[in-house]
Amino acid sequence: MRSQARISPISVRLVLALCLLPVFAQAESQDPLPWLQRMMDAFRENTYQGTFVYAHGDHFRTLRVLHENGTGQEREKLTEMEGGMREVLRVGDMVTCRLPEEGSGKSSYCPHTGPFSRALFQDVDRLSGSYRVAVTGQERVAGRDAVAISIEPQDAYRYSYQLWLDRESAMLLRCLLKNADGEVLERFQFTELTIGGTIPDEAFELGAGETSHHHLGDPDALMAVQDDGLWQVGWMPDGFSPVMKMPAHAARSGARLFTDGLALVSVFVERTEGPTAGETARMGATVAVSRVIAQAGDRWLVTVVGEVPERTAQKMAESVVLAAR
Amino acid sequence: MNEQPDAAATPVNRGEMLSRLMDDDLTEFEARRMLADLAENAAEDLATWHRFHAIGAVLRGEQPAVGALDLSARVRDAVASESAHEVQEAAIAEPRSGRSWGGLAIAASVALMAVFLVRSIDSGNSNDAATETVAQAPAQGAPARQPTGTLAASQAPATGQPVIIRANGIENVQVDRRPPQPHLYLVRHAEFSSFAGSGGMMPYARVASSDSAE
Repeated sequence: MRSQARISPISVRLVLALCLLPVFAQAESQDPLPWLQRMMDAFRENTYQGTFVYAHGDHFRTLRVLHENGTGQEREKLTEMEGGMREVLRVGDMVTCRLPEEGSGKSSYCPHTGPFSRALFQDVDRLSGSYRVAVTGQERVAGRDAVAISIEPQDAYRYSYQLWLDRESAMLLRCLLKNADGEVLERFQFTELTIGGTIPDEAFELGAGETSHHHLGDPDALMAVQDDGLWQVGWMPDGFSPVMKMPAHAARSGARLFTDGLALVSVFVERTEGPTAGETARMGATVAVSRVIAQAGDRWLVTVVGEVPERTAQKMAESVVLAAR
Repeated sequence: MNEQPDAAATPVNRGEMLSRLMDDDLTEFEARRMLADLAENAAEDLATWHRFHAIGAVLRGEQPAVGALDLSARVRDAVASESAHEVQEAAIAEPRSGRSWGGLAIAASVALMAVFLVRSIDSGNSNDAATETVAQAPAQGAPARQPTGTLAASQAPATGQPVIIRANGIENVQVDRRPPQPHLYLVRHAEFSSFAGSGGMMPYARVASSDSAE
């Protein structure tokens, strides 16, 4: 008896679908912008806990992060793993910081934490104007399937980035920030990461010690702060625009934050009785260039700080013009 | 009477003892005490040990495995297994020349720990360099108790940059520490960035890192 093999239309469709699946998957992975958007969503929406390393030069920090968004309100806690044990807890927009132990040698500064998505990559399409963004492949990173994305600047005024996103969750697993010579200036990498599950409330409690409280600013409201008109930045690289202003105080003419969608640059202008000449300081990818301007018997210190090449900060500092008084 | 050194007495000598344990350089008594102590404090010590090895791998551009690690139960099992050998050895009650069975059991426990550590870093991504790191790092000192964020020279990445302070117009003047003013602005920039909700982990890490750079 001869058996007749019959191929059903369903089988044909199945085979076709299986054959085309890699093509669709490839097509999905070749557009980097949706990946970046997914990454921002993942940071904001996922429950995760992990330990990451941040390193620049011969310095590094390991920090523990807990994050959940179970009830529609984000909770995030960052804890330093070595000595001093500075901790930051953010619940919604309210930030509480447990300050480092006295005598630990740590600064009492306590940056407010916030989700990546608030401003960074806020408009991922905008990146295309200043950077060439591309999916460069799929790799195994830290034992997980990862999508590699390269973000290369279109001019010499910014740095390049390499990101590795978890293929399943789009969480950022690894990030390198490089200068034009390919030198790694900053390195960020999770060494341990658990996505999903639940985090007990106790884990979000801060240890005993002195605390400070802050409320995160609303960038839109801060942009509305009236410009004091005392100074302006005459030059910045294409694609940069102001995202925030800090109001002026007695001896301080405020500060402004600029971004091209990825890199951030702060400009501070303050009256000074201290330095008479500018300085340049560098820490990892962050450079600070200052310049002193004398005007009507006063000295003003202009300081440009950001994750940009020194040349960029220098040009921006030199372009700052004080209003006539 | 010879007094045996306290194998796990203080945190100060702990890293050294761990290093010597890995090098098979402890007396049997010391090794037993160290293993027993490790079993007691495995969760903390080995997690810390693992963390520093993972950091080292990250800084060298290698890829540690992302995943939780719980070595304590495995080390306890190893020590329990060793205890069984110890009972057999006591029953024999006969001095042996060279390495005793107990010593072999200790060596096996140490090897087991080493394998666990290697796997914990190497899992899912075979990397000979990472394996070598785990095997060698304890001999370099006391990574588990390294108190600051400053790397030993052997751990510093080749691409590392010193903190450079340069008076504008004066080339390449390097100083040991940054004056407070530029540092203050680096911190304020990080605060400013995060105030706008622009960064989260990264500005925080930058400020935290600035402490160790001082």
